[in-house]
Amino acid sequence: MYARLSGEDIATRIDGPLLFLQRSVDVGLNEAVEVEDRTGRVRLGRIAALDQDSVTVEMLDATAGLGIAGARVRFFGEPLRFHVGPGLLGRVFNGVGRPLDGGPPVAAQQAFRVDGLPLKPSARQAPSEFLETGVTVIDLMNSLVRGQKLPLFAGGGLPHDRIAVDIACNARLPGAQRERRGAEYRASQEGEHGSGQAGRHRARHGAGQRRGHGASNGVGEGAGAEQGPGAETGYRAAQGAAHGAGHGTERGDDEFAIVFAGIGIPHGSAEFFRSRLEQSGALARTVLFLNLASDPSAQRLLTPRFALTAAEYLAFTEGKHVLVILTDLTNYCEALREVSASRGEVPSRKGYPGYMYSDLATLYERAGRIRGRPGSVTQLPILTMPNDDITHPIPDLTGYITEGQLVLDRALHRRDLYPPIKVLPSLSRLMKDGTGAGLTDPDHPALAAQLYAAYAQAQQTRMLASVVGEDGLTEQDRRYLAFGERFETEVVAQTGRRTLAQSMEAGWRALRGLPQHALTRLSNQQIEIHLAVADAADNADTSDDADTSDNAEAAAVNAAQDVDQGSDADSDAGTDADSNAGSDATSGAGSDLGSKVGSGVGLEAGPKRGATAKPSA
Amino acid sequence: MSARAIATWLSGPVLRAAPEGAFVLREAVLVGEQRLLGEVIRVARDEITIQVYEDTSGLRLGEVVQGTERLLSVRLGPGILGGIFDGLLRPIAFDPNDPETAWVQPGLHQRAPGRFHFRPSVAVGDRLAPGAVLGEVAPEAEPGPERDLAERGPAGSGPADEAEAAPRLRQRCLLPPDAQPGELIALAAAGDVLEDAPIGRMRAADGSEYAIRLAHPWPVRLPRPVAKRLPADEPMLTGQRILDCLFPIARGGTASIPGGFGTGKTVLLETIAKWCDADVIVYVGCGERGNELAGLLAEFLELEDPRSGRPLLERTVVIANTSNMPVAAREASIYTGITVAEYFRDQGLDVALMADSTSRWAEALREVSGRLGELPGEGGYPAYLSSRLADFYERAARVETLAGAQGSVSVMGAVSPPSGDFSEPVTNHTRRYVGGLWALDVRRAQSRFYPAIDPLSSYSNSVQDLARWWHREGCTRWEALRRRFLTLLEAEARLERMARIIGRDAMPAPQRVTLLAAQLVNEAFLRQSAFSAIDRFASPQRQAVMMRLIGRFIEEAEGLLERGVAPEHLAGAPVFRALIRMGEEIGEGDWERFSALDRELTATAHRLVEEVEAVQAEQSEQTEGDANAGQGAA
Repeated sequence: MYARLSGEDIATRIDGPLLFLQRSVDVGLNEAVEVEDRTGRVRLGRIAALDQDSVTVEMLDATAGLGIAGARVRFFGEPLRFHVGPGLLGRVFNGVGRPLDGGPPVAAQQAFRVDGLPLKPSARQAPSEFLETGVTVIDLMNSLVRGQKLPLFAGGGLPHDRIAVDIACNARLPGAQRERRGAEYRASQEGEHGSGQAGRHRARHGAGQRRGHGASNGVGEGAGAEQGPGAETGYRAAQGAAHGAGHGTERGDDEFAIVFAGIGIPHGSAEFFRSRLEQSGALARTVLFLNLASDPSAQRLLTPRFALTAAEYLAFTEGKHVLVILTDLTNYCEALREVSASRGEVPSRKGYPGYMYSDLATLYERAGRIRGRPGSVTQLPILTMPNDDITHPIPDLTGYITEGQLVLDRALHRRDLYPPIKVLPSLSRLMKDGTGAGLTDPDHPALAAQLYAAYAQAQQTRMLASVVGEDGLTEQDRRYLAFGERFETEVVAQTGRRTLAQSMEAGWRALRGLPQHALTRLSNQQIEIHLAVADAADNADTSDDADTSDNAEAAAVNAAQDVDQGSDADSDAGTDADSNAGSDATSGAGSDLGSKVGSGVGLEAGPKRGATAKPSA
Repeated sequence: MSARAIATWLSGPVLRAAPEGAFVLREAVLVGEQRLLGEVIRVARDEITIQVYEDTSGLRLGEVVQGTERLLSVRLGPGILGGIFDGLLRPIAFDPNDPETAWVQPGLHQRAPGRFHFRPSVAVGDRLAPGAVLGEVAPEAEPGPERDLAERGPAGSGPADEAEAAPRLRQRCLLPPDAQPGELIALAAAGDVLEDAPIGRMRAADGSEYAIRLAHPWPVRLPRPVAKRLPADEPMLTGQRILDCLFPIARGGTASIPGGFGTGKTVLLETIAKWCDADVIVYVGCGERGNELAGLLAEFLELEDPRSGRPLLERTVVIANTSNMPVAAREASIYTGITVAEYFRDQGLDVALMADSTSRWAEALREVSGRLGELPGEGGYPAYLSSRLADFYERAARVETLAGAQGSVSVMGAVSPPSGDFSEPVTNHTRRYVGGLWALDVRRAQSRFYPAIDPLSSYSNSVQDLARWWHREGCTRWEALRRRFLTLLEAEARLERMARIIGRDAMPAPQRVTLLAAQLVNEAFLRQSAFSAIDRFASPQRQAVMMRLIGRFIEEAEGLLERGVAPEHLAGAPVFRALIRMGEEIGEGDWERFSALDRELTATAHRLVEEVEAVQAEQSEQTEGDANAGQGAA
């Protein structure tokens, strides 16, 4: 670092977050400055624009209380840097890299530019290693690959915070932590999920309506409540997780780390993240950056950059596989718009600056791997779509940069299916590179493709059913309807973490019951191996179908029977799956869901059928 | 002595400076101590405006801007092939032994000259015109199997000859197209030379002399001259059924691929880059993802060119400006790409240029325009967007080169419309200049139907011109089948709407046949996995066989309908599933299995007819019996 230049009484104007100085010293764009006011308080800023006689400084701390008179400005002569070193893990920082946990500053080994430099495409290692998140819709259908950037498009009121934390707690490198999946650890995880769900139930349906309500204590207060079965689960959760984490470190789990950046989040969410990570023991392998909604918005522009600098250090210097969770990028873009407007720049779509694409790219493109180095930076940015509009510039530009997207769905959430990830518009572009023979499972890509195709068909059938009514459907259509339900309640929805093998098993299970000749994305061999059980019944049904197709009455009777059987089978299977998971509290919720779903379909079909009948009458 | 200027104003990639000496518009300049590359984009008496092609962090006022007395140019030479470059053709290769080279640092340098083997084909005393062939050039190292370009003959670009062209082709050394015509007065003997070392001297008509080298600079914004443009009447085969058969592109043609995010633009372009039958691929990654380019590079190094057995990368030039690289260079990268493509075209080669994505280029244009304070037009883009797009697409052509050979540049550009809305300016203006539109459909992409090209809104203007080629290849029903498929798909769209209201099974049998046939066209023909080892590429022969088979199925289904067989019986037959999966199951050259499928189709049809007739006979017997019984009773 150069000797610091400084200037006194050179400030001419303060306008919102911008400070204008006389150009007294030779400084460069993007360089950092410190401004000390009369009271001795020091604020950080950086040089945003230069012209012949003035310098524009963008202040990163609140400018309230800053005056023109008596302000001393120190120029760093270089861009902002983040001092990193071993001991970064387990720490909590604010948005500009200052410790928030009361601990000492990090023993700095290196200082990296927070803006980073673009990685050459030729230096990148194409991502191809699977990263297991424990979420079926991600692992099975939209696999995350180390070095990828896969955003989560959420909306206000959707459980993206919970998904983020669950992934932070459950994500692992396949193979690295096999042994760690002890019964104890698993129980603790499920206990936690169960309690989370119960907590939400309570919020929606009023306290005490459902059993397991005591468990909700376990979420917020941890070991605070010592009585009742729920509290016990929570306590065990904390214990078990801490235990698990301890073991993990011993067993080479230290290859994996998490960088979690909260950008402009409310205090409640920040506390939620911190306490949940702490309880599950994941904090020990996490670096947490918290920029609160009340912090100056210019800091918001730096939070992800500090987080990514830490991630790059962990990945490329310490050789870890780092998962970076950034939430919420919408707040980042709002800050970008705010700062841009205060600089008087020409706005583009919806008032966001024209360079927002390039600016977002400088964040997202910092995910990746470098050839010949062990580590990786994987990004899971989360953004809330304003008004659930996926064509809004923020999700739109993000989707053009990132390698796919996961979209949350309000309808699934309303039905209390967790995680409510909308499967059809979700996509992982790198899935093809990280799944299949030699990487995950040889049948993984085909299974995912078949599930996608069948679910798309089921959705179309649903639309049809809402017009003509379920009675007017063919046998095959009704099977697709049943598949759609089964898919949502048994594959998408889950309690606790699922390994990829468990996820795949759920997928195969959901496919049974569809006529095999319709499974065109699977090879005959794959059908034989995984779906042979239902073979005979299927063929019989198909020929049946063809024969009775003329006979509308018979079909209608069949349909009625089938619907009944279908919903029975559904709730049965639901209970099965849940008891597999081995958690009492959740199995109750599961079968509850089943019945709710059944009645929902009935209701939907009812009035609409009436509507179509009207014109004819 | 070149001109100098002093920087007085800075904002992002735009800089203003007070000139000392004369600058010209579009002149390349070097800025500051780091000698960052820039271009003069506006000239006034006391101020010039410069667009800087690199990260301007740390740039100070008062820094010196050095003129170069040359328009923004790139150096074209044999060393380009197989390389990866930034938007201004500066190498961004990575040296694993030097960790610092992993990042793009400001102040990139021009490519170091490579050493090549030069074999002259002219002699001292020859009179040469601009663009004349001086000799052949081959890489010095690795004396692998080389093929002589001359064997193809100047007019040789038919499909049979295409198979002969190989990535390790000998390139040609040309007299630069802007050189003075004159007499060759000195020439090096055959041997290894550096790209920038003189290999000979020319004396122009006015008596002035100049040196000639393997490599020469060319301004990126200036189209390279040609003798004449030729009609585009040969297909550029992509190996993708939906493109080659339904929406073909001609050599020297243009196509645009608009699609919202996640619809598979990049995968489609990469697939074409892998399997199309061009000699040289120029892939411009413009403002797109770094990981994708890394994947492309790795794959191209690994994949073999089926025609030469050499890595695909050896016939490829990658120009990369990922979304986090300096924005101004993104604007230049499109022009750099097409200049490189023209350089190979002038050697008598067929070149395919993929630009992914032109929207990022247009946005770069908008960003710089905004910083200049220009009056924004539609969507915030500068008003000259449309003419810039025309400049780019109009450089695609099949031509006769100055040296008399035939070459072509075909251009395919992806467009990423914001919110997937095709009415936005970039998509709309592009539509005016391209010969084909491959519109990607979100709904198809969401049900993982790839390539997700929407057959109803896509088009190609070269169908008439290319039909003759298919006829020559022996597929005489190409046009008829193509039209049949498209009408089926059109009918399907209409019937689907109806099916949604009354249910598929309530529709009359002829319409159910249409839906079934359309399903087969979609699933068996249009769907083609880019990642399937068997189906990622389909030769024209295989495409024609599949087309015929599906045509046969449609005929059979219609014939069966007349005989009273319901389409559901056909759909339930094993042959239907076999037809749907034939692309996935039956590979190139496996014609016997296609014939077997054909026979199975005929047999199935016979069986179904027999079954129906048996049932009918039984029924009529029964009625007859009943009638008899009735008579008996009477």
